[in-house]
Amino acid sequence: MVDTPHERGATREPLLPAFAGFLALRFLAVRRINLIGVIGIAVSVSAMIFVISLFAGFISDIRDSVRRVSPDVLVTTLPRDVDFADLDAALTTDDDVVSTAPRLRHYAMYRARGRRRVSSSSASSSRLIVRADEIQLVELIGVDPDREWRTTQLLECVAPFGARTPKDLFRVSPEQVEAWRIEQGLAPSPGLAVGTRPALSLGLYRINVGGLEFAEELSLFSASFREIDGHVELDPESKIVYVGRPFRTEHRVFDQTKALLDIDVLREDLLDYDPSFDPAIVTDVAVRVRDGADPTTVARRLQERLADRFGATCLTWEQQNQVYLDAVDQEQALMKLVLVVVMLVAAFLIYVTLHMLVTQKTREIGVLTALGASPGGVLKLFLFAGGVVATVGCALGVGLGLLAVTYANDLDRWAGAEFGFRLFPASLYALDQLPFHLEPGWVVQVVIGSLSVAALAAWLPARRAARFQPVRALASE
Amino acid sequence: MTPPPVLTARDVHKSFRLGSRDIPVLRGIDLELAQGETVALLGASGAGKSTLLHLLGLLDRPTAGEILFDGSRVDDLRGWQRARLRHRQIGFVFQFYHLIPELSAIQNVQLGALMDLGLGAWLGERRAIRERAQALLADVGLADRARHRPNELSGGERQRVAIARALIAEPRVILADEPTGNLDSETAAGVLELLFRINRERSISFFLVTHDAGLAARCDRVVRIRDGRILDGRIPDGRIPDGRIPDDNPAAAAARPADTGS
Ligand SMILES: Nc1ncnc2c1ncn2[C@@H]1O[C@H](COP(=O)(O)OP(=O)(O)O)[C@@H](O)[C@H]1O
Ligand SMILES: [Mg+2]
Repeated sequence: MVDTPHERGATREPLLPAFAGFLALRFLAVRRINLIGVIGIAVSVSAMIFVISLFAGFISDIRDSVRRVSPDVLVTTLPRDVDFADLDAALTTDDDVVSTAPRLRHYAMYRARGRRRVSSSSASSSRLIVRADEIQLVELIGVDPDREWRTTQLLECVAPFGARTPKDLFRVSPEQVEAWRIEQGLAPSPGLAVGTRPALSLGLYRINVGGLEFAEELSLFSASFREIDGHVELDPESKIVYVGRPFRTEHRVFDQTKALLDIDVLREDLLDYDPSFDPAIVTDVAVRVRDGADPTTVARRLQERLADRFGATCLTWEQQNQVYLDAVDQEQALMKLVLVVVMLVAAFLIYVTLHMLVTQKTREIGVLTALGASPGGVLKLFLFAGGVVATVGCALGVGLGLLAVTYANDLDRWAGAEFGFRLFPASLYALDQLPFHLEPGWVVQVVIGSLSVAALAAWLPARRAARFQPVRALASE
Repeated sequence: MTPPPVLTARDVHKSFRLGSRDIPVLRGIDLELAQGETVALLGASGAGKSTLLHLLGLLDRPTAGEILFDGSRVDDLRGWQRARLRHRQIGFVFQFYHLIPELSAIQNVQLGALMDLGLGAWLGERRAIRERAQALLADVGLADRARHRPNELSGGERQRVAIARALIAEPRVILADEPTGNLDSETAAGVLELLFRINRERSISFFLVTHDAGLAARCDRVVRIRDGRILDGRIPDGRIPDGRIPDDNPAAAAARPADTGS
């Protein structure tokens, strides 16, 4: 014999001894219970891929929609009598400010005039003729169409309906108004139909829910407080406006609560503003930042610049939606926690099934040792068994996860059509379909993570097996 | 110059801890096993025969004393080094065969060749190993039983598979712990015939623990163990007076709750 294998310092044993592979597969094959570990890992991996892709798509959608309704920087908490011209002058001295747009927020109520009219013959003049459910509360945002167009993406969300200029977005023609009246079987407008009419742009959601139609007449009510000779008086106003072009930003709260209109209509017709001597009041200013400039830095600089004269707050688009974005982040964190628990359960299943295997195979471990298996070899045998369970589970899980991501929307539509039941209420989030976003990098991370956790779970019983005293293991029955 | 014995035990002691007490089982064993020699180890149940066999096979370490292989000390080697030596030089045969129930006869035999082979190397040598296993099965008279599972084989057949498994790594020593202890006398005779034929043909040393006087008589040498020591060496006429071994180890008997049977 040429080699003297019992010499000290002889070459180490192989990385994966052949007997480990030879036996592990056969040990697993005759024990269906190990399928539990495979299924556990598969479920956990596919759930992770599904949920992570869904959340990634969801978050990028949400950020897009939030971005659409939020200027790069919003200047807000302004003094009551600030004049936009002064603000604009102060803001545009900054090199990173490309353009600005005034905004004026105000609460109002509206009521559709054409429908649900109480017949005048039966109603006495003192009866309440408008029920609460017939009027709608809305937060008006008066915008300067041309400036807004240059400054933010907001007006891109308004359906054009033949509008040629941004200003057209907030008015309807007399012909359109008459067409609606004829369709409703109403008499032509009293007085001469000349000049364009002010239009209120409402969220598509609101238009659908309220059954409103383009160019339909609305009564818009608002009130302001003004100081007259030391007294504060309530000054109610009402104005007939028309249902204008619907907008859809996909930011659900925005679409459901806001209405857009021309800032001049808001100032002059609802707030009794006199352009010849009142300041051009605004509540906020939208600021567009030069491409490549960091909005956070610009916002901080503008805030410092405006501090003395206006005491304004300047918020980046992310700060404007902090609460909303935080809520989504939190939801995602919660989901991840659930996934971690699922993963731990899967790992525990691997641990339990391998622990059982080691216990059942105590005598065989002694036999293997007698045949020349080292403690390390025994460890590798059971690690390999765990590795096979985890790998098969991961492969199944990745396959299932990819299938689920690919077909979830089809499945959802099918379930909706067949059983009238949606698996995922996408409409709750104002989504047409579930917004999956799959990145191979995450799949790789999920697989590596699952394999590591499974390896740890397999390592504990494997170590126990490796520590068995061979003599005692042989004696066990 | 004569070569050193294959296996040597030098003043080997072994005691087991039982609670707070140390139970001495072996108290200074000196023993040599020459190349090609057959030695029978006799002794009462619980005398420490299996314990000595495990120490010689490097499955356990002596409390004191040394085990030598080819004249060099091996009991103090690292775990994986002892495992390799066990794999390449020592074969075990047990009373209860200890086959792996999930494997067929031929797979059980193959397993004996896979202990220190890498998975990659095995894929290369698979066919050769399988052919060797098949040849060994044929040699022990089980050519047509290769695909049977252990539970489809009789006791004698199982022990033949176990012997083939011990042979596949071409060891120089086979340690057999009551190899016929679980077989009827006719079957046992067949298995013994096989063992002695292997000894002649391959000049493998055999160390046989047995209760069977007939078997002991056929060995080159008989060694008796009592009170944890070797009683005598060579029996001139190769015979035990009446073939019966008295239960005469008080220390072992005291520490033995029930016969382990092995
Ligand atoms: N792992 C062990 N732990 C404690 N006691 C043991 C162990 N192995 C053997 N013994 C004891 O050592 C004595 C000798 O056992 P053993 O070598 O199996 O005897 P034999 O094979 O001669 O019947 C017995 O009393 C037995 O109980
Ligand atoms: Mg015994």
